[in-house]
Amino acid sequence: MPRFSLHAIGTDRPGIVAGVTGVLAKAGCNLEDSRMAILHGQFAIMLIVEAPLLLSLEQLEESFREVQEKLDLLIVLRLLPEHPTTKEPGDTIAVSVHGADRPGIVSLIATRVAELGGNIIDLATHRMEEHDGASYVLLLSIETSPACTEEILSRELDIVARQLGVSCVVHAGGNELF
Amino acid sequence: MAVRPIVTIAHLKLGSRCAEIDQIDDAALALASDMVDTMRASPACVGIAAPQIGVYLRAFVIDCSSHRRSTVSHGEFVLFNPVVVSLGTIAVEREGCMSVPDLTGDVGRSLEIVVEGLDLSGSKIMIESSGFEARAIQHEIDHLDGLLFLDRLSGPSALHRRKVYR
Repeated sequence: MPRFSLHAIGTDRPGIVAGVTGVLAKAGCNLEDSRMAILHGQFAIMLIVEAPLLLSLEQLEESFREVQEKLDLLIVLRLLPEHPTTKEPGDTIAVSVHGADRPGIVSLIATRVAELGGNIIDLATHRMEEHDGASYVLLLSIETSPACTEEILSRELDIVARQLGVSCVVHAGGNELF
Repeated sequence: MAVRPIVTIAHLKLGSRCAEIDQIDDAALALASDMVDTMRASPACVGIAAPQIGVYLRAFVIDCSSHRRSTVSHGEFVLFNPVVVSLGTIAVEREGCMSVPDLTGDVGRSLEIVVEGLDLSGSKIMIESSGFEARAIQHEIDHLDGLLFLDRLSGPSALHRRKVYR
């Protein structure tokens, strides 16, 4: 069965999830993994669907036309490779970075993580406007590797955080089973 | 004495462990009074730690008595130089912080706590608490060690936007 990815974004309002998933259901698509969030008043959707065998990308795009116009959404659909390159998830480390907002926080932290061979598997940022500037929060989940352990990340990201003048805490956890 | 401005994450001194208070003198009592007044100024606030009003000393105030999630409460109390004696089993619940105005997070904390410290008279006291108040005590002690709830989240999905009471 073909799989499609769908990315959609538009000004938040009631009915976006109903509208988008309604089209998918009518087209016979099965919703698999999805993430949806509001970012600064914009509702963003990322999802993967399994589609009926004969449904083409063009047909699916066409079936979204009405909802797209009605809800003023930008929608991007893509046909995914037949054999997805999924791998077993590894252990994860949580990293929190916070302090006064300044350009380059995400870029410098992410660059150091990449240099260490760490894989960022989840990320969220929030900028909070205050009367005398703005504060910034960056949270990361990072998949560990032999060169990117909790100890190494803690030491290396502390150096980057000091340069940026922000706080950075690295901690393992969330890998236990009960 | 005075309601002091809350120091938010943009201005908190980084990674700093607050210093012990040598004696419960007039300055320590003034600090306690300011923490109480600052806590009282925000109706939703159940606790303030000294660094949140810009004083990097080991002290906090808590009053969970009127909070709907509170089961055990010791009313309003100030604790200087708190030391955790014991903790219990962990539970994840959502909490927020005056220093992180727009966000809340799902944080794992002990359901029970025994903590020692000095009270307003300088006497050593032991507080045994549980539930929401135990969570609040752990949150305030974290402030004294330079940690925020943000530093205890399991990952980005544990962070949430919240309504801001201004």
